[in-house]
Amino acid sequence: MPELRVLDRKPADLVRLGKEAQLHLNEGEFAAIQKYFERLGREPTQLELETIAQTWSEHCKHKVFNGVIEYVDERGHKEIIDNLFKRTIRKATERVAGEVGWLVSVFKDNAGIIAFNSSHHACMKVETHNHPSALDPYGGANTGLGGVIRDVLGCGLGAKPVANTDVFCFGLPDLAYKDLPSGVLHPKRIAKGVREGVRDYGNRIGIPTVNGAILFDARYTCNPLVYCGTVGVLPKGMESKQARPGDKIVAIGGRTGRDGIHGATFSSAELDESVSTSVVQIGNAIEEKKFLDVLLKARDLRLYSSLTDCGAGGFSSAVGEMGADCGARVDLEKAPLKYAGMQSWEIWVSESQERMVLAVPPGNVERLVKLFADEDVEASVIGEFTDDRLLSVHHGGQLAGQLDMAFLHRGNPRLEQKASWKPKPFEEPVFSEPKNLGSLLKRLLAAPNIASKETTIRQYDHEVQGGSVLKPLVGADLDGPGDAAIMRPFFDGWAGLAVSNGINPLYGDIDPYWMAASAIDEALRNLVAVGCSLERVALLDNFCWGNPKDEAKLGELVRAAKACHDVAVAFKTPFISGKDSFHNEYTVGGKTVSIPSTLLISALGVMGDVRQRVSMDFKQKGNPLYVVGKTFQELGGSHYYRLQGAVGRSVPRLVVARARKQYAGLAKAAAIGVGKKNRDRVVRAMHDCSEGGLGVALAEMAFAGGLGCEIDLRKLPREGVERNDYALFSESNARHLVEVNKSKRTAFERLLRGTDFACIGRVTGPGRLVVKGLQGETVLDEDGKALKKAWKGTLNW
Amino acid sequence: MHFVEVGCKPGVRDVLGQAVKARLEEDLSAGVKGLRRVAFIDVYRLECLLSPQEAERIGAELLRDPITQVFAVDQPVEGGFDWSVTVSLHQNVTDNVGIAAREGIEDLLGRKLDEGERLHYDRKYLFWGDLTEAQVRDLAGKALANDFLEHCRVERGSHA
Repeated sequence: MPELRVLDRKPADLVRLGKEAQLHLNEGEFAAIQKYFERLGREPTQLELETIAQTWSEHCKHKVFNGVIEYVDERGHKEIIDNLFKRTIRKATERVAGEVGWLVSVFKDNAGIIAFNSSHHACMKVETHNHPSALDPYGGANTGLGGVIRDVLGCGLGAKPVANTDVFCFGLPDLAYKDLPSGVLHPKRIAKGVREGVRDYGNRIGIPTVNGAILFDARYTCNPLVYCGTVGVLPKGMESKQARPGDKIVAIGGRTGRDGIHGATFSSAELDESVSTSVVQIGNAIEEKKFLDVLLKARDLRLYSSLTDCGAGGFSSAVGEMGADCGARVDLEKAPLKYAGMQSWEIWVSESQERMVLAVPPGNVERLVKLFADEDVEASVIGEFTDDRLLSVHHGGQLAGQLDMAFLHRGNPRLEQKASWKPKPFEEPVFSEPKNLGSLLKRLLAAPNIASKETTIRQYDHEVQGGSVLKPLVGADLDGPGDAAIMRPFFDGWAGLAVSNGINPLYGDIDPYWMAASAIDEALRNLVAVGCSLERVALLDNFCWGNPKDEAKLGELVRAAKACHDVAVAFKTPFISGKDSFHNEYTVGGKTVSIPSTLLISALGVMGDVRQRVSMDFKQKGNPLYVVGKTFQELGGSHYYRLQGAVGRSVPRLVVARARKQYAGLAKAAAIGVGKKNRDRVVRAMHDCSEGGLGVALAEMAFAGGLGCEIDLRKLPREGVERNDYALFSESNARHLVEVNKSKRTAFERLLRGTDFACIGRVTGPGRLVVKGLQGETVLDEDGKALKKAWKGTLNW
Repeated sequence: MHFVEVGCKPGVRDVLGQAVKARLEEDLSAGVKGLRRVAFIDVYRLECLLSPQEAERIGAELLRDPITQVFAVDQPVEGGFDWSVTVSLHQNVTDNVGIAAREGIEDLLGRKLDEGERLHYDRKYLFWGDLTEAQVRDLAGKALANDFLEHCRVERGSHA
């Protein structure tokens, strides 16, 4: 690649040349670079330009969220938002931080940290690895998981990973080949490759994959989304770290090669037919497992003072960030390479996998290197931290680049963007109530987003480490869809961690505000469904969006972020970490397709006693069945409307005060009788109503338990719902279906007093799901086995 | 320079081969009706200074599973197929299996290989069935190799 000369050139020309060189810097950024080097009176070296491009990339700097946005809302009201992240997500956390008192470290480390038990903190991080997974599904997913595991390893002085989660969004699996855009892999191939990538990494490294979701939509064909999350535990007192001048910079793990060059800057670009192969990394779980174990040993011996993951941007990012407050000097010839012949800048920004960087006090270096060598892990001193506030990179005795840390980390101009939001012109569909609700229920159960994900889940080890209390598949035949996973990381106590997810991009098509509110509610009600109270629950946000230069897309982001603030504050569930991925669009033949604006909310809950866990399958014939939470006519963005070929506009909304009261009552009810026999507990089964509404939730509970049920829609707490199909398939938020011990009804009802709840029916013996309609007639009578068959048939590949 | 091929022992179910066949039939509706059997073969290209005896030992003691697999040195482990597709990584793409095999060979022989001695791992698929070369190439592109990382070589077997 030729050196790019920047002085005396128009910034606009530099943008084009920069794009060709995969730097992806904008005009303002090139202008700042010109000014800096004009002052120095020289051209930048390629290594310097690469370092700046990587440090200022969307992936590393979150320019969209941290920039200035001029936002015009639906009433034409203009607002200048100076740093959307600080004004929404971070503000929510700041507002509840004082009240909750269990936040340990938020938004500054590789993962967010909260207090867990008397000896440990818990931490979690969720990453996206979308662009790489589009090109090489197996390797992209592999390294996505490997990267987020290293994020947790690099959290504080090193947390031990105890569980993984994964959420995928793919194109429609039955897409005809003739409709596949050129340069794009088929969605089913991507789905299988991603699944295998997560499987092979997670299983081989010995971390259970306990929770996830898979969504399908045609708009993900060219831009699949791959979210990987990891939960870890960190000994108390190890939450902070600081590289000190004089500390040696030690690279550990894999060798550096030419794989994965420009991954970070690539995040600032849109995909098209001409991407370079070098951006894809190849993972190796065994390599990471080797250093994971020995790293935790070195941590306990306190051999290093700081560490970080070598992920996007490679050494450039890792060393640049660790030395941001002091300075660093690196000698690239000391970095172990996979092969000879690499240029300085390639070694510096390569994203070869399974590497981390430690700051080691000189007196500990020998011991540390030997400890790693004994476990067959390479640890090499590649430089040292200094106090000159400069980043100096040498190669072969020559200075390959030198930058002021201050310029590198704070010299980039703020992004100034415009955003606006107007309601979409969707209308409610008009159609008469269908006669055969049973066949509609079957079609809903068979819809790819609702259908059983068992073939995927079964490929993942969710048992390794022996701590999974509530597993992803539950019920009589161990195939029911669990709401959330519960882990017990330490066997000498009952404390545990519950993990769940909430995601529904279809709502965002109508209104991103309610999409975000619904995603938070879904993640939280999933936790409540497994018996976790919301007293200590942290949230993680993951925004995957289209092109932020599009005013409407950015307007959707603003609206979603505002909802995150409002709902998190009202629930008192702070955000502790997050991630954003923009430019999820693909241009082929001059036509651009963007993904639906997609927000994944992950929730991490601390449970004092994991024996409070409740699974979703019906347990016992004769028990009463309650619905907690009101059903509204909210089918906008629902799967039922989708079956009718419509989007609608009545997107599910949320009144947090009402939801909170319900959830608190349910958590208390789930806690009664803990430690006693399960059959003597108050709550026997609980499931949330989400995609497909009450109808799908009932069917899932019934066939997971191998039992049936009879319900009467006339008893359903509802408002404005006058049709049986709407009552069954509305996707109103904040609703749970609960099987209550028939001899403990009074206790249950007392705890739920003041909320909208009602007993709508009872659990029956094996067999049928029977629904009486709003006029008292039977509107649905289906065999549980047939429903299960429909649910299991779609994704059985 | 030697190569070692490792395949399934006759009589043992070739799970990988069958999975590939199922995938081709289920995921790619057009053009794979004539496929009768697919076999999956691991290929290790040893660009190393090894004696024929050493290569034989590496196949027998390191690369094959003696219970379920058979191997052959410098010749195909199975013949009689109609087409073969060999998938190799592009140069400079990290070859994890190759790296692990190299470490294994060094352990087995008790000596370090020279920097210049290289080891590559390829995946080979054998097809039996009435398929044209164009069909085989289409299958390889759609389901077996990813252009970004890999290239494939399609060869006619003794039957075609």
